[in-house]
Amino acid sequence: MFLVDKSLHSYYHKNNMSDWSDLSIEILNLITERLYYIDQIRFRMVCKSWRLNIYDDIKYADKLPWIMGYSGKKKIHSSLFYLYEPSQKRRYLLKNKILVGAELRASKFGWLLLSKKLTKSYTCSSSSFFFYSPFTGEIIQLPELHMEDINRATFSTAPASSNCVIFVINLCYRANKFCVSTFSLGDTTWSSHWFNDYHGHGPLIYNVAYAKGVFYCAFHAFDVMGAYNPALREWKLHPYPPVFKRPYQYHLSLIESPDDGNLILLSYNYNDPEWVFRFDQSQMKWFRIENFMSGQSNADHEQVEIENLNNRILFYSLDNGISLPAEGEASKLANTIYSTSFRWYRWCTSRGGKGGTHQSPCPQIYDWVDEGADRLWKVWIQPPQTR
Amino acid sequence: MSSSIASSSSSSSSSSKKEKKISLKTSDGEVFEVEEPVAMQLEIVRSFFADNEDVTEQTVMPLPNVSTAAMHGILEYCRAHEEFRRRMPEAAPEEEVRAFEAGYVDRKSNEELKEMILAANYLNISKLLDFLTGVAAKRIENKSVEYVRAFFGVENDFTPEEEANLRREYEWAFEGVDED
Repeated sequence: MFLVDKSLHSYYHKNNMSDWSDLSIEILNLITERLYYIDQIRFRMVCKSWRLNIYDDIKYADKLPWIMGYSGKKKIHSSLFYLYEPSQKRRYLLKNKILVGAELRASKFGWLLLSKKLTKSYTCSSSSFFFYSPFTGEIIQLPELHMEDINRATFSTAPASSNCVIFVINLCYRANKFCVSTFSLGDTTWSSHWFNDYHGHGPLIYNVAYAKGVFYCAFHAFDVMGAYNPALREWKLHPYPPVFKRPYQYHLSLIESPDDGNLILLSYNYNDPEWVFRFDQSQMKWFRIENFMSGQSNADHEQVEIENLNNRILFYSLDNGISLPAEGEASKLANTIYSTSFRWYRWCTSRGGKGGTHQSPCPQIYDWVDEGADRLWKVWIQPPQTR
Repeated sequence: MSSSIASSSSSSSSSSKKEKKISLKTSDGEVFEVEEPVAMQLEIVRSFFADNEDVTEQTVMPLPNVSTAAMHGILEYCRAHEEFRRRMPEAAPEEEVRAFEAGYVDRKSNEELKEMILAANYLNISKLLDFLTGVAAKRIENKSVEYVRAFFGVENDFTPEEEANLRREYEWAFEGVDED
């Protein structure tokens, strides 16, 4: 018997079979989100209806960050730069004059935060800050800020959202004080607060990072990390893990983990990463990440709990760092560190084993980036999430 | 965990009535007799039988948006996955699944792929739809806009000026695509 019941018709509504140009919006977007960012740019250009119907905030297939290569360390001195795309191992040449003379301060969510010095006096200057997206060419200008020469800057979320807070800390080392300035997109001026209790945290700040509402500052001194909560205008200090109390030649870097809000502290000595810790904000406690412990040091007396990197990947450069989950194409990189500095495009780690560490061969995803020996500075950059 | 319990209980209930088949009729009139656990992977079929108490084993469910050719492809995929599930109810044999899917899709032309995506969407088989849309994406990876238009049979309705403006906006992204 054949059913030609009315109730059946509710099951057959959507697409009458047709060619791909009549693809339902749903399927069109399903295909789009399986494409890499670079392919999505071309995909949106197929026809008017696709351009209209592909969601602005759609996901993309990229699970690995890109690299941006530019010339000049402190100041960028060329308008030309490259974007290196890892999924298809391609290098794209881009150009924007606004970069010339600018200093790169942070790279996140597809956006660069840059600053340019406008006027200069003895140890301070007036600077203009701006956002620039190399992917879309968009620029967002921020008001000028007067600050000391020793300073670090970063931001909380993509500047596409009005929640975005820009954070600058600058030191007046001689006067033992420091200043924290924040700017929320949509405001007209920076809000600045001086603190007079800068007691020898060192004459410089390695870097700054954002996690769960708080900006963290990796001071150069041997004891503490600073933390500023802009919503509460609250400044706090947290001791570093005990291992950093010993006088030792190391460099520290805070690394963000945007999807889970974790904060990672990486130390390295010359070319080698040495220690990795995770800061747990709710417990105010450090956890050492075992996988990245370098072999020579015996720190068992430290009473620090040990955990693993939990199938994540650390991407580190002198200007930024990011921790990402090892998903999809990135899953083979789980529990490794990649750096654009010192030519470590990979860093493999011990995989378990209590008696010391050993390096195992590591997937080479970014080794092609340096083939041209282009001597550019390199920073990690992720494609923007919204257009 | 709960999903694996649910699936193993449904597999034991289906094995008790092993003979049960579901009749599905495609747009061109062919009737497919499909083993119940395979047919139930088609969400449209599952909900039809769950929601209509007056349907019997003799009921032939018409599927007017699915061609016979697409149905063959759909059933091949669903039967293979039912087989994997029956053999290893706890965890699918990942490598075998990957090998099957790679071979399966190699044999499909772009036209067949398109028909199957539409059919998988209509029949509401999310696993197959995810897989097939990923395959379509892979086939246009690093291709020119012209190639993508040809692949999907889509007419370019931008004026030359509009298209030139769009390309200028993302000039860099058009370098180095594969030969068509």
